[in-house]
Amino acid sequence: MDNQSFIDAEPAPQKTTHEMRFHGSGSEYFRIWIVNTALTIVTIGLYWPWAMVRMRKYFYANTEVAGDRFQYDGPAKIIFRGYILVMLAFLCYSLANIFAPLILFIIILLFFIAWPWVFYKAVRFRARYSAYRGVRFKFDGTLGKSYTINMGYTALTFFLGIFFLPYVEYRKKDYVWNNLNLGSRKFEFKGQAGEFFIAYFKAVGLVLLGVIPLVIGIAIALAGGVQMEQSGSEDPNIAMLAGFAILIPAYIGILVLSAIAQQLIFCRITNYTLNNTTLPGIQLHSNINFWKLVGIHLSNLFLIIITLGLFTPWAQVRRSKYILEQLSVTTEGDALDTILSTEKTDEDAIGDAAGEIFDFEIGF
Amino acid sequence: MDIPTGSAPGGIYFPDDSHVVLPPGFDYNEIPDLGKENRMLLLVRWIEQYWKYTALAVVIILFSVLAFYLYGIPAMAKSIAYKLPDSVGNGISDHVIDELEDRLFFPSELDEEQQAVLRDGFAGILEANGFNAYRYDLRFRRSEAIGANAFALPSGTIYMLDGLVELEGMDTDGVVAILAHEIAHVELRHGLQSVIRQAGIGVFATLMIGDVSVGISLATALPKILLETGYSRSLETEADLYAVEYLAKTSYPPEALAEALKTLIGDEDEDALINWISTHPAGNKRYEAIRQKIEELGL
Repeated sequence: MDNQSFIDAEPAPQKTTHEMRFHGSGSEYFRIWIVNTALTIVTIGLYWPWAMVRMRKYFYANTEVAGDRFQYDGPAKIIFRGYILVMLAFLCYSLANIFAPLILFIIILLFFIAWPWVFYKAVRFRARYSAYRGVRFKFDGTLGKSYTINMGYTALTFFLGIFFLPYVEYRKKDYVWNNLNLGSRKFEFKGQAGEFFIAYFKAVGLVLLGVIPLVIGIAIALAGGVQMEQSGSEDPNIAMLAGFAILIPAYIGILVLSAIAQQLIFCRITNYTLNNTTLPGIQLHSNINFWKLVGIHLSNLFLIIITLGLFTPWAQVRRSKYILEQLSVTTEGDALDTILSTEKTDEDAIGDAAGEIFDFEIGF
Repeated sequence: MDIPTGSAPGGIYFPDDSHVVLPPGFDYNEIPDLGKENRMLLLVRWIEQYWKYTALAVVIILFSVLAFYLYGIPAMAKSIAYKLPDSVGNGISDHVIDELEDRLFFPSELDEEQQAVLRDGFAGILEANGFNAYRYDLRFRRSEAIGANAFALPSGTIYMLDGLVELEGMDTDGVVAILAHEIAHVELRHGLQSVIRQAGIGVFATLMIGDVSVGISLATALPKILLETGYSRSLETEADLYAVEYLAKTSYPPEALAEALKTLIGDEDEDALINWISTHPAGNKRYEAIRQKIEELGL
């Protein structure tokens, strides 16, 4: 070891972990939600893009990491054009549904062709109008790749069966995260498809578990029915009644298990994806607990139903707060501190925004 | 402009796309050249800060939801029902007919002569009103489980059960009047309307609750709805009033519908729970409505 390299060797950079914080409250968000929903109703839906931007803004602006908040400033006017386009497409679909079932096939085909483009546009749009410390995110994936994944691989699932679906989901995550940038810093996702297969198979297994009591219920009821036929009796016998008595809770059970399975997929895949994602000098972490998430989801669902939807804003805040506060970032040295609002956003991004005719903002 | 939401910070975007966070108490109205959109959003923000205006928003939403449920869905169901091809109604009906014939119905025990008299009345109504007799199929059946009832399926198949014909106090005019009522259900496409209404409520519930599974579980129950809940009161009243008009063009007295209804209401207390009245609700109000219609027509 010569002198020169000894002097250049840096000391091990100091690692710091910053927990994510969510500052939103249910009662505050309720007022925003209800006022914007009412405005959407009285304007027969025309206000919807402004309402959506405002609601999303609330969640971004209340999310904090290392003392600074996120920002969302999607331009509602541009979303409005995309929204009108989607509404027109939906109208065509409904009219075709009633008058010309043959045209329906063409419309579904057109949707299939347009979908990868919509997906690409939506990811790009969301990234461009999200920012942290005044630095915008940027998505630079290609449209071609979106077609490969959202059309090519999705078409393959028709031939290879749903066993292929976890791989498609993996490729989607890979496509989004490996093409995402914060300012000039590139995100890197190094995950493998294995975890996606485990998550989906476990979820499917969970739903199949719920099918067992349903099958037993049907079998008992059928046996009762056959016996009833043979004895020539008109009154339903005990086996039949017992079978039907099992069917109702079994059916509710399947609905609940499907909801749990959705949470399982979300929880495992979010944890895995974020834990395998880095920015230069920054490691993301996610530690969402499956059972806590299920508890929050099921109690939210129950409260939303019994309040006829009025609990929705509290439910959204509760869920977001739990999920976001399980996330954190570990930084080496000053990797996070160098992200400053003085850093210029890519000139391309600004040009893009000005030249856009349509854009899509859809939930992921 | 980045108009803040709630107590979260807001800020300003400058033309070079740099962003500056502004302190919580900052008055955004002081910024020159805000533009219409930002002014609107500041007004929205102002409304959001007060519980009293929020309460107003709740009232507006509840009112709209109720109005949509009571008037929007039925109006949409009606316009869609008239646009759907007949094959849709026939498809649903075939399914229900198979189920009924297999499980619940037995051949009628009414004598040939009585059946012939009722068929004459039925054909008379169709002819006098210029309805397509080929789409109709009047079937006499007996069912202990269902009792005194009659109903129409969207395809034009009308079931008249022995229990109703044999009811004490029910005469031929009454049964024919009830047939006119069932014809009105078919002509006015009430069967499809109820199914579409239920589907609309399913979609509506999905939108409100935000959970597809609940909506789907409602949708799977649809074919049975035709039988189990019958038609809503507004559809029943509509069918009554049209039945009066149909009967007015024949030699059968429209008053018989009102009398038949009265006979069935009387029957409700003592006899089976499942009868014509329970699937055809609000007997007394309908009785009054029929009487009024007859007077209006000057019969």
